Amino acid sequence: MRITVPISHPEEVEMLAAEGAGEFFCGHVPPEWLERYGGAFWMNRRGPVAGNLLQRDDVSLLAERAHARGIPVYVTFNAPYYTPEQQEFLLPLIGRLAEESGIDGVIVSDVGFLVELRRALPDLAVHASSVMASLNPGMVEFLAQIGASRVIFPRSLGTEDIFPLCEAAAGRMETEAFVLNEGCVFEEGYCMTTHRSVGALCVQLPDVPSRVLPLTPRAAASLRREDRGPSREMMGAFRDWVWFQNGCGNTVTEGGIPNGPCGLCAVFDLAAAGVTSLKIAGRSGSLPRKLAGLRMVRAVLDLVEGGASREDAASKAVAIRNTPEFCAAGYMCYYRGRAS
Amino acid sequence: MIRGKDDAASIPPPARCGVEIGLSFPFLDSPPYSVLRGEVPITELMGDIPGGAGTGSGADFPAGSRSALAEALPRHLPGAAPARLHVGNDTCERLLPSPRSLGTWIDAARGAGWAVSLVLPPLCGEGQARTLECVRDMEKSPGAEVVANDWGTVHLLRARHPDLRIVLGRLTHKVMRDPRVADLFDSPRAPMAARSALCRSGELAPGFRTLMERYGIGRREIDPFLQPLEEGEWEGRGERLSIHLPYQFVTMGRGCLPASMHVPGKGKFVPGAMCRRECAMYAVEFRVPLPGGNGAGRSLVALGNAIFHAVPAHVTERVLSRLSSGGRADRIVITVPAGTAVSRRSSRGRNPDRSRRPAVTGDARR
Repeated sequence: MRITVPISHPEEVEMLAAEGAGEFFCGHVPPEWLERYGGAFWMNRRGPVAGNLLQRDDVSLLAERAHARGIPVYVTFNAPYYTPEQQEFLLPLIGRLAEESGIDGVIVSDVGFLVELRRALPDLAVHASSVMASLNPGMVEFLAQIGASRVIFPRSLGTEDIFPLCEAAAGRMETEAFVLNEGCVFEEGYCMTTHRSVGALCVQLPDVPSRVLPLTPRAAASLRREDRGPSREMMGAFRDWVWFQNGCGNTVTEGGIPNGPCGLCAVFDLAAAGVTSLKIAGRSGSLPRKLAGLRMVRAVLDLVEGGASREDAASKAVAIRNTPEFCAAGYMCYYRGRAS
Repeated sequence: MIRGKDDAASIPPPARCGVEIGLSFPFLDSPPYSVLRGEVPITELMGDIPGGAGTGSGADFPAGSRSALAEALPRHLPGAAPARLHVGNDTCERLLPSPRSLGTWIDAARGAGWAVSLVLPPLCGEGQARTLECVRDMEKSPGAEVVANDWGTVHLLRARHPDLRIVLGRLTHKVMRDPRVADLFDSPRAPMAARSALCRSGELAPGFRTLMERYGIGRREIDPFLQPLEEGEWEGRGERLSIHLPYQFVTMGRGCLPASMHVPGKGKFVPGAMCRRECAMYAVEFRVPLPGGNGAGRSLVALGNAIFHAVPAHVTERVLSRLSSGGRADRIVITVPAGTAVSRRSSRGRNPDRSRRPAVTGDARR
């Protein structure tokens, strides 16, 4: 089982490799894209600058350094869709990244673009992004048929959902599951809102005026009586949940450990399911944040691969995080109600 | 190569105006017999206001949009009458009908001379298994379609049912949709390439066309977008288009806000968790500010596990104008939310009389 680590600069390779990174994923947004689209249409799921490499030479250098340590590099092109003109722009760009910069594969979200990539660059590995929302075994079959080499599971799946998907993928595709950082309140593959200028809609919702609307006279009566308390509690819980999904308000612990969505105590189950890579999200995070996250995941994975029991691995994961009150709240877990 | 049967000959004849009207009841658990019997004018379906008068909330969140649709529909499509019943919910797997329940809907629709579309949300493995049971009954029903909202389900259905008519659901139509800023997408101040990219999808690209051909998909559903879609998005494709009104899908989660009302403690928002179908009783309205800081805002509404925006009148006008002018778009799907009068009285009675279809009423018909 490899740990898939976000990277945004060639200088980060050495330290992340030393801490146990198994593979890297990065973003690349060339100046030509910015000239065409400004900041209005993001080339991948991060803003045009933060977390992205702007020069292809930097991608080449990153790949060179990573390969020297035996680590593959994948570049993400995971906008929800690309128009025909954008695909015409991207295909030669990706061709150059593969042939001249030496990247090992790309991550995409647009099913049509995946088909076109396979046709244009049949030797390049293509990973189906979590933004493709691969929720069922039929999707794994579909991806295998159109030539994806890996499926990245969306955040909303539980470990019990992941087992049959890994079974469907076995021997045909690699699998990747989230283990740390950057939650989504909504299903990423079906959320076409923008984070640009106005921020994430999900983070905004708890802070805007809202009201619970009864849809029937009976509901109106209930809302005045027995459902009055639960409805208020619901909106309060929604605020809490969004806060946890948003990295606990994008905070870190005193020890520099990033708070927020976490699947550490499910690593045992993910390994048992046959997941081949564990994803740490957060390309735009600082190097210390990336290192802190990687060390935690490495520690738990070493325990699991060393033969720790499910319970032992889970309890040690909670101890390593060292925020038991957040773990106990329940809203910080990727694999809630299932593994922990 | 997988290929399905979906040629022009298999498409049911359109209504007199050339546009088919489908009614969708995403939160109803039994057929709307009163509608099928022709007891409820279509304008009434849109005139009743969930959360409005009589319920004590004073809410008017969809009133403008729905009344605008009620007014505009007969003007643009005189004489049009619903002829298709959409069963199921396109965002929530828990609302997938059982095979038995679906059979009831199919029988009711058949009795009224309506066709049926089974609407599927994005499915997990368990939901796919249940769907396969349902689809067996669908195949026997004339004009029946299945609306799939994920490619895994498209793949599975086509592999198992080569002759099934599959419609690609609106959730798979990847176009930026954010009511907070959608008005800016077509701004003259934006770079031309950006404007174009924000007003269309990637569906005209060769790879996507290959998939549509491979899976024999002859129809796709789309939303009433706030930004004007480019002409090619409407007419540059081989498949027919169905357009939803009056709600634009914005986003969805597999954790459900209304369902969390009665879930204790930290069990709230767990994907696929049990619920009491609170979505049939409550919605949640959010008022999100528009950029600019002048106090303007837009209403978003959580209906079940998804967020929608009831589009303003000018968007409804734009959509209906396109429908009545011919072209690839030849069907509208009108969502009737929970709490309408028809929802409350729908389950009474059986054996709808097929001679009494509800007709569009309004000034334009006089």
